[in-house]
Amino acid sequence: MNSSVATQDRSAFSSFVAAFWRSKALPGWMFAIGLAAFLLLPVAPIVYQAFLSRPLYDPAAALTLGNFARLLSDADFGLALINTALFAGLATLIAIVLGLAFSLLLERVELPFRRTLRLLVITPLFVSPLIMALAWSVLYSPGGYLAMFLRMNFGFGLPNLNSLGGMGVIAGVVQVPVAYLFLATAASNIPDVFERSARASGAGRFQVVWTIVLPLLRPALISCVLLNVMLVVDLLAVPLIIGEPARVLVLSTFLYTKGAISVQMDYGIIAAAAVIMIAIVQALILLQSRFIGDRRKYVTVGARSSAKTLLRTGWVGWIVSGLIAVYIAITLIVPLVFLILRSFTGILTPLLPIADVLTLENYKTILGTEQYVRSITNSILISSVGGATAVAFTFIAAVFAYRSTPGVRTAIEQVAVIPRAIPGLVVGLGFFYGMILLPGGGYLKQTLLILFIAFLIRNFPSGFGAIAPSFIQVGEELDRAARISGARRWRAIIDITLPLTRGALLSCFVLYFVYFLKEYSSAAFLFGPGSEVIGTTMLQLNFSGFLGSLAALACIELVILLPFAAVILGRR
Amino acid sequence: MAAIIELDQVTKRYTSADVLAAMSLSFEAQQFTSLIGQSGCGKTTLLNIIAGLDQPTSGDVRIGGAWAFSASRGIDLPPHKRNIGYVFQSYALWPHMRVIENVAYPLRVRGVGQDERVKAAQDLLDRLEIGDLGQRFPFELSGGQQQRVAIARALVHRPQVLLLDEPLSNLDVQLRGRARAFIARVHKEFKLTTVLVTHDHGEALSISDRVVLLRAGKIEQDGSARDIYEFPATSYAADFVGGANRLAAKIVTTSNSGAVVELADGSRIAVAPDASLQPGASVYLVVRPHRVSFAPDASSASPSAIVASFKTLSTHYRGEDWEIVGDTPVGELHVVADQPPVTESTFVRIAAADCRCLSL
Repeated sequence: MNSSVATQDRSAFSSFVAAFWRSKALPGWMFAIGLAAFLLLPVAPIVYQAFLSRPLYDPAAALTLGNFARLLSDADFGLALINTALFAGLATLIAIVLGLAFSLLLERVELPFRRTLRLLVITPLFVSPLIMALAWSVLYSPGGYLAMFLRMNFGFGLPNLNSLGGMGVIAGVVQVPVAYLFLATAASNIPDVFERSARASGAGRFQVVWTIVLPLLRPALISCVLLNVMLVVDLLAVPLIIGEPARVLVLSTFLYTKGAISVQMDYGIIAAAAVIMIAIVQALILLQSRFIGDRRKYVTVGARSSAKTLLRTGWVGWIVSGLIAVYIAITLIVPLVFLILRSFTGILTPLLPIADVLTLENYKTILGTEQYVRSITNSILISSVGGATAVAFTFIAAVFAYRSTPGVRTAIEQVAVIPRAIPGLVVGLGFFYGMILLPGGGYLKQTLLILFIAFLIRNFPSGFGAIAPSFIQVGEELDRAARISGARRWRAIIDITLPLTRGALLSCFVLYFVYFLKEYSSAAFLFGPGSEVIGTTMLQLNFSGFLGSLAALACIELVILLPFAAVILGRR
Repeated sequence: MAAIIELDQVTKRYTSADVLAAMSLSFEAQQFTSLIGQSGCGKTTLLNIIAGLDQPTSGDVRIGGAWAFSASRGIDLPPHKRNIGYVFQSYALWPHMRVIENVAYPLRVRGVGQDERVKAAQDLLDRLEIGDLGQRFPFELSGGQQQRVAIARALVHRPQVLLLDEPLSNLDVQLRGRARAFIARVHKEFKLTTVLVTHDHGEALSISDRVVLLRAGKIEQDGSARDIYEFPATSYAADFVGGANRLAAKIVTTSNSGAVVELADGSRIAVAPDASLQPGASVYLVVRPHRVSFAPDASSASPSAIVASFKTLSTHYRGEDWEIVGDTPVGELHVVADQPPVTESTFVRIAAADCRCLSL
């Protein structure tokens, strides 16, 4: 009796396995699992090290919780945690408030110069936060041009930028484009009919925003808050350039100073701090799903969204546009102008006329030093060759996701966003530890290849996100039609899917190029002599206090990025 | 005639439900078959299994006498080797290719040279009376033109089977009649074994040699268009194909000459015999709306016809006729007539010859 049941079970199981094998889902599932392992690669060595009593290369290392105990008794760490909370809170508040305001104003109000303003608002996306922090520092810090100018002429300065508050403001401004794009996309997904029906029911223009648009945006707002907190917690440049002079320690600078530039590295304590950083991010993600609750409430499928009718304004529109323009000037344009000025001067101060201090010395230093030039060529190499390789890899991932079974699709879509939940510093640190563990890792360490892999993992969610919609849009039927017509699987993909997603692939390449060029935090742990990139060289120049050369290198990065930013902005 | 497509015990199972349950079906050479049924009945899955775009959980599929799929033998011929023509619901014309390139593509992947394949594609376009569209891109075509191009692409490599997935559903109502006639013409001219999937019974009846009605992964009825309409096997088939009134009834007596059934109001009527029905069984008396007629009074009642009082609930003018919904002692009735009844309360007459007695 029992044995017959067992045989039946076994035959049911084996027929299930056979059906699975035939269903062609197998390669897709294997890819999804491989991708997950690849993207989680940097986390494993860190978690391992966090529970080891000695550095992971030491054979005498034993499992322990001691690292966490030591970390939690470290006064610096406690301070860093509190500062991180305040810093992330303030920055996120600024980013969300401004991002929401811009998404409501620029997407649904007929403002003068609306297109131009929209492009300018997202421009900071292409400027590394390192450069933004530097530019602000040149202009607004206590020793900066404007602060000194005001003190000299009017007897009062600016609020001290080198403070937790100052850090929060810059980080907030850096994040505004992210919040704006996120919320604008979410808002454009709300079908127009909901608003029209509210208007038809008697709601006024502002009532519609308050009673329909904002409630429907709630899940997006919560996700956006979460995303911003994660990005700010991970932000190294602002705390390093703005916070460090005032000795304001946050988690990212704690990790960086103890893990990357300290002479005596305490492996255990750094890994434990990184694990806590990962835990914080995971907790935030959990919190998000709790807050949003039943998503079906917000699902707006069915009704098709159409071009939104823009709210007409008279002179109020000019005032609003003017205010936005002032914001852009203060936060972006004037600081960048002063950064450029700084790169052409030996010293930039209101005490000396600018004409007297003009020089090309900074550029000569950068272009005359082998190591600096190498960091530029390395960056371009990783961005171009690495970017193209990354696009190919991302395309293959999308093929597996969208030309396989629905199960595989869901799995890959979930897996693809894993790196969003891993701070960039942790990616760098994880590879750093991993290379120590791995046989032959010493050889890989400090090569461009390992930097490229770290950059790819870091930015894979963005790249995948750039390609995925076009795969969904192109639809599987076009591909299937080619299969029926007699084309093999990959022939159909090359003949049909590839040409139809060409635009998205190009966008994806530009995105990877820009992000790889900007990357500095994951590289901070991984570069070595010969594998410097622009980001790491900027960190070194900042550490040594060579501000002029730093400004020059920042300007060189901006010039390289300019055409690519123009491509992306031009498409919008 | 030889069977071109043979499905044997084909089952398609998703985690819990069977989309297709041990289905056996074969399609003969040059036959035009429509698969009809509600959405979710498995008809498109069946089409995709024939094409190789979907794999059955178990069962066998043979096309043109050769194995296309067999779970037990571990055979699964990929779609590009099945030599099939498939017209997708969305037509799936490749937007980056001109019409001529779209149509020549099946020849291209078969290694036919540029000149030869363009000529073949152009000949076919000419034959389908869209010879002047070759240089256009799909987005420059109307819905009807797109459909013709999709059909041309499905025919160009001389497939042994033509599969059509809801080919008319994307067209405006005015265009459907012409498109339907076009498909019929293509079938007549190319003499291909054709399987069409649709949820529109009118489309199926008017175009096919044979109609297979599917319901929840099983065959509900399989027969000629006329059979399906005139002699529905089940009350579901009667209702799905053409619409029908279903009156609850009970078998009173059965004999070789027929059965007597009793309706909700107690009136009795003698209907055609059905061996499977036992006295006491609950059945439906099924009658088409246009077979119900209005009567001035109750006087024409007889064992071969019932007459019931009719109270109009709503009247719908439909252009060529009227549909009247009303309440009767035997249940709610839909009546199609040339004229609406003069008074709100009247009588209807249903002849026994127009009724079919079907199990629930």
